Formats: sequence, structure tokens, C-alpha cells
Amino acid sequence: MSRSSSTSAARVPGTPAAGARPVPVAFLALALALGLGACGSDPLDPEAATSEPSPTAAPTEAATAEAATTAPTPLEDVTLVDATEPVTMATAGTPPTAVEVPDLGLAMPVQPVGIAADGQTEVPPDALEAGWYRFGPGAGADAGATVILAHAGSEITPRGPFSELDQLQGGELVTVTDADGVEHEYEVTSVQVLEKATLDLDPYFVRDGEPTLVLITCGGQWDEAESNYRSNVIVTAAPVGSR
Amino acid sequence: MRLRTSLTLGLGAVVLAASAAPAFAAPEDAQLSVLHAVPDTTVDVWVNGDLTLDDFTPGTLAGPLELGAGTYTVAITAADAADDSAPVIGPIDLDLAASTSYTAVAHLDADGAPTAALFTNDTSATAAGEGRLTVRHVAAAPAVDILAGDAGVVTNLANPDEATLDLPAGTVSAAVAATGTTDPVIGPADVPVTDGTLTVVYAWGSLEDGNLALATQTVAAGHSAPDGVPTGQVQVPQEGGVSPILLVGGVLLAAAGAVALSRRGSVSEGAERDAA
Repeated sequence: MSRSSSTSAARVPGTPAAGARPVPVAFLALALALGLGACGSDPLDPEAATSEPSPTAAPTEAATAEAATTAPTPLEDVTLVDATEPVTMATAGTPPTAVEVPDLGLAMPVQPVGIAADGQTEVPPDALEAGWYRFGPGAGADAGATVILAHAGSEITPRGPFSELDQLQGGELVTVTDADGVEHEYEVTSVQVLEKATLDLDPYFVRDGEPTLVLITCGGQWDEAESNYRSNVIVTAAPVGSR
Repeated sequence: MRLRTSLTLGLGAVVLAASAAPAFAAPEDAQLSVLHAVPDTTVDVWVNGDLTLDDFTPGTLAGPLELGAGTYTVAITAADAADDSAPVIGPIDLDLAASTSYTAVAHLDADGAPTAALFTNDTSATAAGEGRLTVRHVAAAPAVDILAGDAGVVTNLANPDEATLDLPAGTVSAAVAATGTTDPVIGPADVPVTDGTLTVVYAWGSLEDGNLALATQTVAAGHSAPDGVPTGQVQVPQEGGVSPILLVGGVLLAAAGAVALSRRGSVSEGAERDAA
């Protein structure tokens, strides 16, 4: 219920609107915002109380005089950008290039992966290589989940390192090296085996909230008919530092 | 005191000028950006009678301002005006809904007269791997075609209309051409299309004055998780079960109709277990 807008009206003293008529909805919203603003932001600037305009829509002589003698003051902290400059893609974090889990003897190169035609993630064909979901945050991002995935087993490598992820107990270290050579360390916080049929992947692909590392592979029961595992193994790890 | 002040402010119509403090923004606030797309004219922008943008220059994008839902009166005056009583554009009333992103654009109409338009930015979630591109014609020019790489083409877009495309994330080469032609009058220019982001490209300026240009704005949109993570290409053999060489042989045998790979027991299905 915090309404920062409650403070803004105080910033432009003595410049009552000419002919501006807030509709009742706007007025009620304002009254509500200010009246219930106890949990809100800054208290009203005392100046606002002393430079109250007349409660009529038309400017009073006093206000007009003040406006004439006091140069109007614009809001100070509006972000301005030159929209004619080329826009560059904003990136969060740095692309990972390697992932290690020493307790499993796991050390794999990481390459960027995107979305396949079927709407699922691309997966490096060899289970000895992991993929970083390139539309989400990279390593070292301020927020959100850095997702690294790999086949548990592939035709090229039937038994891949990620097939051991379900052996993790929690507390193990995971190291992710990024494209700048920075090593980011994480500590395993959860290991889950979740059936794909009911799995909601949204929480593992977030872009806000605490930064996390998410490792995903397949596991659980092998479905002979589908020629696929019924579950995803999802390891979540929290950052503990970088060097 | 607080209530009385709010009442007085409300009645006096000096309301909600514009909060430029996103850190305190309520999630239900409307977000209003303002683009100045009238060439060669520096202006002041007044919101509900309050000077909000001073000496606002062409090609500049301001905001977003976090505003409570409601109606705001915007007037654009010559720079250094003492108040908004003699606007060069407006005043216009902007009806802003909660939790919605808008861009107000001061621009030229098709015939070259200054005007303003309020656009609603589509910030709904993009599909995984896709970004959104909106193109807006706010130039003093006839209808145009907009060529966005190979993937998207918008035809016959007239001032002040817009068109929106969801495209695979990447960079598209955007160009603007007179409708029915492919010879660019603006561009081509590289425009990023980013997963979870709305990129808005404005064609602005004046054909007659030879100052047509592109302006670009990015707005955070929702994103989607992938439909799945298909990381189970083959059934992983149990540790120590079969040597890799035999497995290669097994794959070959399987291709020949054998079932060599099926004898490995599967890892038992585990319920969710939190190890922390």
C-alpha cells in the first residue's frame, strides 16, 4: 500500500493547475494514498502544507503571484535517456563456461542453449557437456536463477556426470566459471526429483529474487514407452562467494 | 493533518505530479514514460499543472514515472514557460490504469502538426525464447511498411498507429519504407529483441524536412519458463553395469532390434526431498 506518489505533489510549490480537474476516481485514489500512507514512504514535505493552493480549480491571485516570482521546479530524478541511440541488449551476469561439483568428480564445459522448436530447452547432445539457459541470468547476476542443464545420459555418452546429481545431499560446493574467468561458488540447498507431468518449471527459471544456481537433468523412473525419464532432477544452490 | 493536506491537494488539483522514485513504487502503480518526438523544439512538460520535465529535448525518453491509477492532464509548453496556460500541445487527459505501462509521445501528425498520443505497452509474458517488438508511426509521413529482419513485416502502418510482433530473441534489422516499397527511408538499424522484454521502435520526424529517424525504448515484460527440460535421451546404465564399449555395442544392437539397453534397472523414483 506504499504510495510514493504521495510525496511528489510536494515538489512543485505554487504551481496550481490551470483547468486541471482530477476525476473523482483520481481524487479518491489520492486521498486513499495519502490517508493510508502510514506504511508508505516519505512524510509530506512541510512546504506542501504552507503552499497549499486554493481548493478551487482556478488559480488564486496569490498562487499566480507566487508562480510568477518563483521559477517552477521540475522533478529532479526523472530518468532521461537519448532514445535515438542504439539499444544494446541488457545482460544479467556473465555466461557460464564450466561447472564443477568436486564431491561428485563432476567437471563439465558449459555452452549457451536456447529454446528448441517444441518449446523445451535445447540440450547439448553429449552428456559430457552442459548447457546454460541463455535467456535467463548468467553467473554472478544480482537476481534470479542461473540454469545449467545436461543429459543424464546420451547416445554419445550413456552415463553422463549429471546422472549423479541425485546423489547430492545438500551442503556440497558447486563451482561455476564464467566467460571472464571468474569462479562463482555455490552451496547445494536442495535436491528434488519431480515428475515432469506435474512439474511447474516457473520457480526454477525466475529472473528476480535471490540469485540461485539451478542444475537440471532427468531422472526417476525410465518410461519405456516414452523412451524418456518421467522426472527431472533439480538441484538448487545458493551463492557463497566468487573469486 | 495528513488527510486535510490530501484533501486540499486533491481539490486544488495539484495532484500526483509524478513520482520519480521507483524504489518506493507501489506494484499497482501505472508506469508512464514520455517520448519527445517533435523535431527541433525544446519544450516543458506539465502534469496536472506541475512542471515535470524541464527543457525536454527532441529524441529524449523520460521515465518511467510511477503514478497511481487515475486521470492526468498533460500539457506541453514552450521551454521556460511560467505555467501551462499556453500549451503548444494539449492539454490532453491521460487515463492510466493500475499496473499498466504507457508511453506518452509528443510527435507530429501525418501532416506535420504537433500533437500527442498515449500508447499502452504490451508487457504480457513473452513465450520462452521470444521477445516482443512494437513499431509506432509518429512521423510526419504517409503510411509506411516496416521491415524487421526476415521474420516480421508490418505493412501500411499509418500515423499514429502501432503494430506488435513476437519474434525469436535476437537482433533484427529494422527499416522503414514507404508502403509498397522496400527502399528504406529510415534505417536499416539493428534492434535487439530480448526474451522477456518489449522493444518499441518509433519512426519519428518529418519526411518533408528530411529528418526522419528511429527512436527506441525498452520496457520490461513478463517471461515464460521453457515447456520442459528434455534431458533424458537414453536410460542411464547402472554404475559398473556395462562397460562403455559394450554400451556402444548395445546401441548398435538396439538399432538392430535387440533390447540390450533395457535390462538396466532404473533409478528408483524418489519423492521430493529437500537436502538442506
